[in-house]
Amino acid sequence: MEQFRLGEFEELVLLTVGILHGNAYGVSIKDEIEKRLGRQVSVGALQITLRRLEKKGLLSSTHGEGSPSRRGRPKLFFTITYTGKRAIEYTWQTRNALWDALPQFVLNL
Amino acid sequence: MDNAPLPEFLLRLLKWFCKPEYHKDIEGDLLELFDRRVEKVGQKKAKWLLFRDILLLFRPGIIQLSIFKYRFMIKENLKIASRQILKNKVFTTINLVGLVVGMTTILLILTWAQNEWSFDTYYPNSEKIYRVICHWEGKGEHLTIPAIPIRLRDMASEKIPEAEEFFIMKPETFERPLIKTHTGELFEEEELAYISDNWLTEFGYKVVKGSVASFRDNKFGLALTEERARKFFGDADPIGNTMKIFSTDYTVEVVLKDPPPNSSFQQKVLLPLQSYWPNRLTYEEEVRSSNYKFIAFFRSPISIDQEKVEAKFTSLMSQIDQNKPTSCSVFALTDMRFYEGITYDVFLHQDRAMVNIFALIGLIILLVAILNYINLSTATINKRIQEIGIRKVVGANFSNIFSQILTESAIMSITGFLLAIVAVYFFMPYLAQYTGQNLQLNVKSGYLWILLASILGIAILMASLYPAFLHARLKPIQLIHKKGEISKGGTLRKILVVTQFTAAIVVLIGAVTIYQQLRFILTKDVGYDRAQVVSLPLTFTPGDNYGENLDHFKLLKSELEQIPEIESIAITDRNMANINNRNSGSLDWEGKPEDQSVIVSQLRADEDLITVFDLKLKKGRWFSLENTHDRNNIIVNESAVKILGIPEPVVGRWSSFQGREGQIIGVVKDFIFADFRQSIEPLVIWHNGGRGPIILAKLQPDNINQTLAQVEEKFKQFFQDKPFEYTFLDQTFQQLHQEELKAGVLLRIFTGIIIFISCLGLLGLTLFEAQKRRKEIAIRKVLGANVLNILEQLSKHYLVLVGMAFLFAVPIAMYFIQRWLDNFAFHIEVSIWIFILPGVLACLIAIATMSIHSLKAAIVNPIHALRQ
Repeated sequence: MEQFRLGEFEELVLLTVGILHGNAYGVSIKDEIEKRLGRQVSVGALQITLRRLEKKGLLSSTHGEGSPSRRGRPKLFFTITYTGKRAIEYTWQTRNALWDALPQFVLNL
Repeated sequence: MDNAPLPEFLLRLLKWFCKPEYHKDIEGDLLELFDRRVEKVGQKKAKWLLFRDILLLFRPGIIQLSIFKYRFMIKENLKIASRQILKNKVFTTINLVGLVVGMTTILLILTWAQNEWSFDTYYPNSEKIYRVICHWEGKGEHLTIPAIPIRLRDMASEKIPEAEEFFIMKPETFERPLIKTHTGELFEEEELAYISDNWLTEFGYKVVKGSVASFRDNKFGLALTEERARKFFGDADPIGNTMKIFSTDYTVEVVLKDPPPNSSFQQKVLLPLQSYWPNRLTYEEEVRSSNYKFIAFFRSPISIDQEKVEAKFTSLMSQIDQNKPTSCSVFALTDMRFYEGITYDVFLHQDRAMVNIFALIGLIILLVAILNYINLSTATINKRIQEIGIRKVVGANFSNIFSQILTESAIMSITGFLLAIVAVYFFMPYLAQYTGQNLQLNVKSGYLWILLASILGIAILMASLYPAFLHARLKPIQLIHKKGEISKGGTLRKILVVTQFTAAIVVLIGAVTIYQQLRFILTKDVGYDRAQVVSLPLTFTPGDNYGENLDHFKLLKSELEQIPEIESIAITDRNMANINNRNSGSLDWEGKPEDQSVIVSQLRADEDLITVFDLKLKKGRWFSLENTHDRNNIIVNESAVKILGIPEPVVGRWSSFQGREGQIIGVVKDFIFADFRQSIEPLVIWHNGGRGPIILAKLQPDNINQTLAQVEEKFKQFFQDKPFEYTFLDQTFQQLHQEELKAGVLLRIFTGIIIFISCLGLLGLTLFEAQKRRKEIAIRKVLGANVLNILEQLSKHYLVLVGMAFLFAVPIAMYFIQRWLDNFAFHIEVSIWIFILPGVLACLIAIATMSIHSLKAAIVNPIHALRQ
C-alpha cells in the first residue's frame, strides 16, 4: 500500500496524465492542469513530480520525435502504468470510504 | 515563423546543473513555452520567465551531483587550503586576528542595537498601544509632563472611541520607599509602581508562581519579579507572605519572570492601583485635584489618526484643567524608546542617532577587517604565482582556481567566525554589565541566525570574490615566464588602505571631540563652587512623623556646624546639581500681564546656601535670619528676569509665590542646575525656614573620610535606624552626563579597535613589501644606504596614503561632530586641533607599525639576502 500513497499534487499529475491519454508530456500536462484547476504550475515542480512518480513505478515514459515547435528537441511522453492505475483507484476508494463515514449533518453545519 | 534568438546563457546554465538524462526533454518543454511566451508577452518578459523556470528547476532530484564533486574538488581544495594557511603563519595570524576582532565587535554591537531597536515590540498588542502625555505652554517656555491627571482617563474612556482601554502606571518616584518583609528586614526599593489591574495581562508578563487573577482580585496584592523575590525571600516561597510598604500590608500574590532587556517596563515591585487610594474619599480628592501623576497608555481597536486623537485629548484637558493651557500628544508604544520630547520619565529613553551611529561604527569595523583580508590576499598573490601557473598548465581551469581560493577564504572566514562567537560569549556579560541591560545571545531568535548567517556570508563573499577572481584570471604563460612581479591589485590595495584609514581617522576625531567636550563639561565653571560639597538626604520609613524628622534634621545641622572640618552647611529640598523641579508655583509679580503663564524651576533653601556654594548676587541681597519677612520673599536668577520679562526695578517688586506674598529681594547670577544639554532656565529660590530633607555641607579638602565618619556618628545619634548615605555633588553632576561618559569610553574602545585592525593591515603589507624587496634592499645597503633611507623607501608611499585618508576624513568628521555638539546648550568650539591631533596620531601609529618590519629588513645583514 505504501507506494499507492499520493500527495495532492502527485494525484493531480497522475490524473492529468490519464486524461491526456497518449499526449501527456511536460507542456501539455502543465497546460491541462492550469486550464482545469486555474492554478499556476511551475516547470520545476511538475518535472520533479513526474520523475518521482516514474521512479515509484506509477508512470512510464517514452521519447517522441523532435518537432519544429520545440526547435528539434524531443518530447518525453508519459503514460500511467498498471501500478499507477491501482494507485488512483486506491486513492479514490480511501477518499470515498472517508466520505461515506462523514455524517451528513456535519456538512450542513 | 521567425524564431526569436535563444538565450544561450540560460540554456547553458540548465545544461550545467541538470541531470543529463533529463536535460533534453526539459529543455524542449522550456523552449516550447519560451516560443509561445515570446508571441504572447514579448521577448524580454519571456526571457525573465524562462530564467525563473530554470531557477525553480534548481532543486535536488534534478541537479546532477557531480557538479559539486568534480567542479569544486572539495577534498583537494580543503587540503591545499589548509596547507597554504599553515605555511604562511604570519599572514594567517594577521588575517585571522583582524577578522575575529571585527566580527566580535559587530556581533556585540548589533546584539545591543537590535535590543534597542526592538524595544516594546513584543507585547501581543504592541502595534495598537499608544501613550498620551501632556504639555504646558508658558511664556518662552514649554514643559512636557510625561503623565496625565486620572480624570482624563475616566473622561476619555467615555468620550474617545479610539481609547478602547487604558493602562495606568503610577511610579513611586518622589521618595525612596522602604519595604519591610515578613521577617522584619528592611529594603530600600526604587523600582516600585502602582499599576492598573489590566497591566500585567496586556504587557505580556510571564508568571513564575502564583496567578495574575489572584493579584487582580486582591486590593492589597503584590507582584514581584523573580529577581526581587529572591532578594526578599531567598529560596522560600514568597506567595502568601506579607510585606509592609508605606504602613500598608501587601500580600505577595504572583511572582513574575524578569522583564526582558527590551522592555521599557523594568519596575520590579508592582502594587494594585486601587491600593493607591485606600478609600473612596481619597480617590475623589485625586479626581478633583487633577494632579499630573499617572502614566497612561491606551489600546486602540483601529489604527489612529494621531493629530485627530491628540486634538480630542486636548479638548478634554481644557475641561479638566482650566488654570493652565494644557495640550496632549499621543505616540505609539513602539516609538517610546526613541521618543525625544520627554526630559524626565520613569522609563529610560535612548537616542536613536546614537544607536544608529554605533551600529554604523560596527559595520565600519567589520568592513575594515574584511578590507584587510582582501588587501593581504591580493598582496600575497605574487608568492603563489608559480603554484597557480603550474596548476593551470596541467589543466586547471578558471573555476578550479576560483573554487580553490574561495575554499581558502571560506576556511579563514568560518574559523574567524567561530572564534568570534566564542569571544562574544566571553564578552557578553561585560557588555550586559556596562549597559545595565540583561543582554544575551538569544539562541532561539530567528533574527540572531539571520544576523550570523549574513555576517558570515558577507565576510566570505567579500573576502573571497575579488582575490579569487584576480588569481583565477592570471594567464599561465605570464605566470611561469615572468616568475612573479605582477602588480595586479596595486591600485585597489591603495584605495583600500585609504578607506581603512579614513574610517580610522574619522572615528578618532570623534573620540577626541567627545573627550574634549566631556572635559569641558566636567570642569566648566557652573556658576557655583561645588568642590567638596556633600549632599546628605534624609530618607523616610513607613510610619515616620514627617515634621518631627525634619525638626531633628534641623538640630543635626546645628550639631554638624560644631565640627571644625565643615566649612559651611545648608538645608535645602533639592540637590543643587540637578534641581529638576518645575511648575508654575503660582508665581506672580507686580506688573505681570494677565494672560502670561509661567513655568519656573524652584529651590527651597535656607540663609546659608549662599556661603556653601559661594553664589554671586547681581542685585539686591540674600535671605537673612533677622528679617522675618524673608519667609515670604523670593530670589530669582538672571534668566528669570530676562525670560519672564520682569520689569526694572526688579529688587523690591511685590511678588507672590506658592501662596506667599512678599517681595523679590535679590537677583542671583545664573548658575547651571541641570545638565549641559539644557540652557539655563528661570529659577526661583524661596525660603524653607531651615527645614528640608537635604543637608548640603562643604568640607575642608583634607581628611575628608575622617570628617565623614564624624558626620555619620552625629547622624546616627539622631537617626538610629536610618541609612547614612551621601553623595558628592561632583558625582551627581557626572551622573547627569552618564550617557556622554559611556559613549566616550565606548568610542575610545572602538577607535582602538579600528586603528588596531588598520595597523594589522599595514603591518602585513609592509611585511610583504619587505620580503618582496629583500634583494633590492640588500643592494641598496651594499651601495651605502643607511637604515633611515631604507625605512623611508619602504614606507613612503603608504604614508602618502595615510595623508590622503586624513584629507578625506576631515570633512566627514566635521559634519558629524558639529551635529553632535549642537545637542549641547554649552559646548566647545570646533578647533583645528581636534583634526590635527588625530591626523598626526594616525601618521605616527602608521609609521610605528610599518617600522617594525621595515626595520627588520633594513638592519639584516645584506649578505644573507643576496646569497639566496
